[in-house]
Formats: sequence, structure tokens, C-alpha cells
Amino acid sequence: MNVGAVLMAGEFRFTFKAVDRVRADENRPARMNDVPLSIRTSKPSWKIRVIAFCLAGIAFAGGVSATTKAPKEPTTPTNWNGIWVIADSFMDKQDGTFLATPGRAGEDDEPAMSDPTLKDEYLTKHQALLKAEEAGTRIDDTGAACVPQGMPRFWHGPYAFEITQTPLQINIYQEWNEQTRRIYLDGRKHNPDADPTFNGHSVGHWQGRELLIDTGLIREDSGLGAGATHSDQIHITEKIKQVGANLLLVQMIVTDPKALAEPWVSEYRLRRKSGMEIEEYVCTENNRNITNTNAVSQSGIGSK
Amino acid sequence: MRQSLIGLLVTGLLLPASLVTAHHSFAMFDNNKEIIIKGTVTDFQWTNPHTWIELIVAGEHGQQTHWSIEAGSVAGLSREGWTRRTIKPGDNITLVAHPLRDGTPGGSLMGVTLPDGKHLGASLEPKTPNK
Repeated sequence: MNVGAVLMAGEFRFTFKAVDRVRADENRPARMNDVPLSIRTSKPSWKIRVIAFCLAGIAFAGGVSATTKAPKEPTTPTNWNGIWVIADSFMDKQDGTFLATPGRAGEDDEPAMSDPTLKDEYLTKHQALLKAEEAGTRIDDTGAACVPQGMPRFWHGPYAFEITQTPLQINIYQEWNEQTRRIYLDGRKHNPDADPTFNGHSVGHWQGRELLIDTGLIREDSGLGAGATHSDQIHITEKIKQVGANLLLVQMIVTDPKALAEPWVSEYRLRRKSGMEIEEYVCTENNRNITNTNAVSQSGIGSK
Repeated sequence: MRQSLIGLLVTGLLLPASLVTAHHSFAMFDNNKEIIIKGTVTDFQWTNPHTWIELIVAGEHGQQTHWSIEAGSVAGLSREGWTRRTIKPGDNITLVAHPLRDGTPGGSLMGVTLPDGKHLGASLEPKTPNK
């Protein structure tokens, strides 16, 4: 990918040379073996030379006029490349609050983390789980088996996010379970026949300097957090915008006509952490709390 | 080793039922209690999804008990100044933890004082929220 960085108005703005690349690729055979050997090795006849000369002239003239009509190169209005953490969380403050509340990392600091309004059997099931946990029964969701949280829990953190931004695609990596979301900005649509995944299928576009994302095809078992579940009709829209020099605001709306009584609206503020690096997180390395898919501990720890 | 189990402290901490971010449920720990223990480290597992401190704790009558103390992930602790060398086998440490409910000698780490006196995490002093 040929990406040129141009410093504009105090920030990096990226220009993308993919158009030229595509033009070149269109004229290139997929493999050299696809071209008949005689054409590659034999000298052209005088007739072919004349035709080629004429075509070259036409191409030259067309090239001149195309210079003024060249399609606009895709650009990106922001530069969010780098490491981001939930603002004001233990990852942001790094003051010992993580150790003070293991397993509840950042809970006291997480901004605007609202809970969804469940309904029907999704509500009664979750209430039963919370009641059992209050009574001391260990209730785990799939995360305890090192299954990725996926969307919408992707934004719950608690660890570092890494944004890699190009004009046609933005990747967001989450340290926890080494998840990557890919947000396609090239105009593609969701393929209703594609398999649902934990993070779903995300397509986006820019509205000024705000990134609008539509995410569908989310697995039914990705969960909403703390044992709350959703249906296969879950759909998510997000708006991401920069609200400070190193501050992003993520506004997320989760809809699910079967599981939610109303859209679940939540906000997450991310702060850029210059100098922070991504840590490797291999969940299966030493998972001594592993559960099976029914949330029953397989280690025996705390299972009584 | 000296007498190790110093105190069992009731703190009255409450857990809000929100969509918390945790690798697993912490219901197996009695989050209303804090214990302070002293022991000698036999192993420090600097691993994900959680780090573990294995230590031998001597009882009042000389009996030795193996404790497994679960702590945060590498991703979390490394941002709090921890490294894989923070705790070493042979270290005599004092720590505060929420104990396992079922009586198994284990718990969830809240704070630790290292051999050099450096303290990481929550205070070893009992929490008294009403004061």
C-alpha cells in the first residue's frame, strides 16, 4: 500500500495512491504464464507497429485530458493512529487502582457505562444469574473460557486499543484476547450470507471529521456483559469523533428488538497514550479459572 | 517463618451489579473480607489472563500451608509498574487479599509489600468505609 503522509494544518493527513495501483494492476496479467509465449517473445509485424503507434498517440492525448479529470484520491480527515485507553481508567491513570480491584478493573472510573434495558426472557434470565452470583455462585460468561468478548463489549476495554488508520480501512485492536475490528470505508455493504462473528462486520464512512460505523452480522453468543445476552437481531451503530487533542468520544447505539426494551446508548472516552506499547495477551497461557460453555468451573477453584 | 495469618478483616465492601469487565466471575472470593498474610514465595507466574503468587505460609503451630494468590493480568499490572521480576521465589512478602469463600488457601490480591519495603496496590491497613 502506497501511503504518502503530508503534514497539513498541524496534523498528518494521508493520501492514498491506490487508484494508480489499480490502474497498473488492471493492465497486468494475473501471471506471466497467462500471456501467450509468442506475444512475449516474437517481434511485432509492421502493421502491429503502426497500430501500436496510433494507440500510443490516443493514449497520450487521453492521458493529458485525464490529468484534469483524475478521480479524487481517497483521503482521511483525521489521524487517530496510535494507542488509546479508556479515559480516567486505571490504564489512563496508572496509579495502582488496577491491583486494588483485580477482576473489577477500572469499574469505579469507567465513564458513562450504562447498562442495557433487557426485556422478556433475556431480562428474567439475567436477573436469575445476578441473584445466583450475589448468593456466591460463580457465574462466568464465555470470557472465562478465553472466548473473545466481541461487540458490543469490545469497547468495555479494559486494556489498550490500537488504531491503525488508512483512507479505505480502519483497524482497531483490543489487547484483551487480542481482538481486531476491521472497519471498511471502501463502500462495501454487509453480506447477509456471511457468517456472524464475535465482532461482526463493520462498514463506515466519514461525515466531516466524524466516523460513522454500522455493524451487523454479530454472533448471537457474543453477550452484552455480566452474563446478559442478546438475540441474533442485534445491530450496532457508532459515531466516533475527536473531542480533544488526544481524546476520542465513541457513541454507540445497540438495538435488538427481541432482547432490548429500548436502544442501548453508551459512550466511551478514549485517551491517546503516547509511548505506551501493546502487551501480548494470550488468554490460554495460564487460564486456571477455565469454565465450560455452561459457565461451570473446570478448575475446581471456587466451585463450591 | 514467623506467624503468618495476621488478621481476618471484615470490610463491608459492596459489589455493584453492573456490566463489569473481568476475565471471570469473582464470586468465588469473599469480597467482604480481607486477609493479610506473610509468606515465602515459591513461584511467581507472570502470565495471562492472570498472574499468580504461590507462597508458603507458616501457621501458629509451625504447620506450613501453600497459598495461591491470584492477581491481575500482565496487561494491567505492567502499566502499574510491575515486571516479571517484581516478585521472586524466596522473597518474604506481606500481602492483603480477598480469600476464597470455600476455605481453600487462596485469594484475590489487593496489595503487597515487597522485601525492600516497597508497596504495590491497596493498603495493608484494614478498610473501614464508615470512618
